[in-house]
Amino acid sequence: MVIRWLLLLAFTSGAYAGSASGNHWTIRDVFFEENGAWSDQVSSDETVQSCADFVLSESEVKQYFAASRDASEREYDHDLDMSRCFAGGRISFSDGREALWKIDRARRGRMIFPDKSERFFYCETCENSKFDDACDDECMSGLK
Amino acid sequence: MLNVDERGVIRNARIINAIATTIERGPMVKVKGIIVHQTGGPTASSTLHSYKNANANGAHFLIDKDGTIYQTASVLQKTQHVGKLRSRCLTEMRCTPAEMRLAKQSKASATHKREIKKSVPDRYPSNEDSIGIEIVGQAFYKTPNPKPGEEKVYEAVTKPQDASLKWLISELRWTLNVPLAEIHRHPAVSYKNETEASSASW
Repeated sequence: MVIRWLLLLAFTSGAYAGSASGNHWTIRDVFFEENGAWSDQVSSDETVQSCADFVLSESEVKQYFAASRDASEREYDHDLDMSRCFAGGRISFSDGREALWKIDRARRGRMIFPDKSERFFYCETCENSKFDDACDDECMSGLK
Repeated sequence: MLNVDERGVIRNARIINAIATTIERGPMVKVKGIIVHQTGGPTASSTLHSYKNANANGAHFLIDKDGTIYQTASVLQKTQHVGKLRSRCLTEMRCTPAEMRLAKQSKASATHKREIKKSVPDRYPSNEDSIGIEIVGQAFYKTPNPKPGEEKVYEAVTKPQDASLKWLISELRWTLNVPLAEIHRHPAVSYKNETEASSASW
């Protein structure tokens, strides 16, 4: 109940609270280094042109980290599908901490902190049409 | 040729039975391909441990750094090890003009939904009809201060892993009648880190 109230307060005050794994934070500012960007480090047929529309706004980045769940390093690096289309940059929190961030079209997210620790995210529930559709077991097997 | 029992377990002195039914997803009628992966984890035990979780994803075999081969799922069972399929005709430059247009415009899910309706070799082998082989291997950032968009790079397979992979693929091909053209690295067929299994050969 308290957590819900805190989240509601954060949203209504224009800040966004991350809720993944119960470790709560409030994102203060989002800085972009790349947006609508293309990576050759992922195997895909996505082109520079097709990635150009994967442009996220500051509020969309905040919404993503508020709605996403924690993912494990193995999920992020290995299990989850990836996308060549991504946005990334730096993020600051209300407590003064900072991190590098990345979100890709395949709904994966990552933060890298100055001490080299990382957090990984995945957002099945994000309804932003800029993301590719999530695909469950039935979708994978062609049943839907 | 490998001796496969009625449950899909291979009876061979070089293969240790470590089957985790948690990663099995129902009967596989015909094996049409083999997909080679790297785990992203440091040890075989970390992968075997992760397979104990309910609804875990995994492949059929696991090759440890010292070349030890574990069978982790029945070869008669499907597992979730591939992901969304890439367009095979686009990669092999044999799409019709209509397919080419669709393939270039589509997001990965739409491409997968079209591909999965095709049959091998018109599409890549999928979870439905392929054996997965995981090779223990981690991925690391190339630089001490990675940029926001940077992905990690997988380490090279060891010599014992290389020897075991060659032997296992040769035996599986012979036993399951899989053509050489249907052995693929994971990133070739799905949306993955380009360096995964890039140093593997067979």
